[in-house]
Amino acid sequence: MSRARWSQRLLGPPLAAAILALSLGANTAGAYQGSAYENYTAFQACMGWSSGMTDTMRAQAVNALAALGYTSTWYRRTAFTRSQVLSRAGADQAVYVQSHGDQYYTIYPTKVQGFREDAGVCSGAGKVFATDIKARRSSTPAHIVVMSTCHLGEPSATLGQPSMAEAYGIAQRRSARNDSVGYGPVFYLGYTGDAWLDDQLKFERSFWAYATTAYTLGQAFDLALAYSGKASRTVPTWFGTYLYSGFPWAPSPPCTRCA
Amino acid sequence: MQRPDPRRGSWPRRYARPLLALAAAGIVGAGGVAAAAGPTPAADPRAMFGQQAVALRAGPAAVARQRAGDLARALGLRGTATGAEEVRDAMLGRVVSEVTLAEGPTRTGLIVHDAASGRPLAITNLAWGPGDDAPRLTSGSAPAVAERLVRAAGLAAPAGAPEVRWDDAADAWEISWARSVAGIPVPRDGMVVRLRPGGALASLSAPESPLAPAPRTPLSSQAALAVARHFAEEHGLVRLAGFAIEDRGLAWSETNGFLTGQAAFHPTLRLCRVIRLAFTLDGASGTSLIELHVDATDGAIVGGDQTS
Repeated sequence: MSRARWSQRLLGPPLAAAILALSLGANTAGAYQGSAYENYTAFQACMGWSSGMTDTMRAQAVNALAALGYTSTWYRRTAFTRSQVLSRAGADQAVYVQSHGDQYYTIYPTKVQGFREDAGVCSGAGKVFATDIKARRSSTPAHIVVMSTCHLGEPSATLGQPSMAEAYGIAQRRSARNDSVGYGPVFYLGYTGDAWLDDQLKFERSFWAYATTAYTLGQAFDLALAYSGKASRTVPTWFGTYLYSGFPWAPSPPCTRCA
Repeated sequence: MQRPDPRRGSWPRRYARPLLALAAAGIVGAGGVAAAAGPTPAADPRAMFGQQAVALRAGPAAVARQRAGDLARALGLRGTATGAEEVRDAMLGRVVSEVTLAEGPTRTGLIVHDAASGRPLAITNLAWGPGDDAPRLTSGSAPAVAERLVRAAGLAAPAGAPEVRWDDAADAWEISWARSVAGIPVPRDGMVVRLRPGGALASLSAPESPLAPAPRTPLSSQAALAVARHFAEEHGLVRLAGFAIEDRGLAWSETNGFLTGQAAFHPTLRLCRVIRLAFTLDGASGTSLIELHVDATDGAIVGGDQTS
């Protein structure tokens, strides 16, 4: 199927959805479920001051996901818990997490990628592991996953354990930029090594701004890389399809050049 | 040859998005306890991010397109300079002009200039040509190609040998020159050129922030450490496991809202001592890092940063 035909196929559903929502004022939550999670407590309450940076990053993501057509319910403090994340994980088609992330020991020497819940606590916050998420998902991948944490753009430290991208059904591979090889309507953004809030905020802001103004997610990544103003010590990475628009109603296969 | 992507800049994307933004207002769902649904997106998506994009009037637009077109030709980029906008960025405190390169409906690049000085800030090549992925460059040959492109852009690379690394995510060689002024680093500036394996430009970034006047005698390391330690004591950080404090030296640093809760960044950098605080929030976590920018003029903490 050509990209032109893909595009034509994409147009019908969004217009229909828009008209339906406008005419009925319908709450169609769940149509394209998106979830955003912000660990406010660890970065602000526990420090004794508010940087505002995680709030800004979460707001950016919520805005962008809404603009791309996802419901954008967000959680922080006591609402951002492991159980809340896992209760939504199976149906999430877009996910944003701003928290601590790492490859944590489960049973030594096994490490599994995960991120911290907020839960309103300064120590002993639970971890949401990639294995937990993978267990709750079908084989259908999420469309957009952004892990705004340290380390969750890295390969798994322990062979055989899923990465966070893989937990959401997105293989850690990148399509060609000319779309000669694509992997369907999926895109994962994460960071390797330590990520610094200031850089994450700037990079993601630039990424979302371009992604919501007619650039594909891969192009938005490249544009943010060149222009966001982040310092070199924070290293973002991506997996999925470079020319994916980010819209949730992208077709499932057959699309010979995008799947 | 890159195939046109009919979604980019074409009517489906242009007209579908405003409708979608409106539709989103209707489809945001109710959140759980202490959770919330997202706000209604603005009609201009950039407004959601504190940016205002204004199409330039005919005269200035023609000048901007000419300038961007000349630069694109000098760098071997495909496409014709088309849309020209001035983008006012309230959060970063800067005004730039953005010119899109395009071949028909296909966007092939974006060129960003500082609106006031006309200096190129960022150039991104979005077209992928035949031979771009042929492995012609090596870590040894890439810097010379990068330097040639920097000169072609009318810029000068900072003195010193660049760092060279392969960047998987960019699918490019990354050649970077750090900026320093009078021997003091400017960590957020410098020049980065990314080259595709075949040698074509992937992107060029050349931020050059204005600098505030430097003090005649910068704050001593001891004084800056005392300021940071006092801050750490005040906020209970010294009681956390593994607490450590370290002076990372002088650097031209950002004034930001790290301590004030306002996500705003002053475009002018100040000479600061960067004091790093390290600790663990609980035994099962890795080390968390905070950096405080202690103004080398008056000892005020003017900004900072923290690892995720």
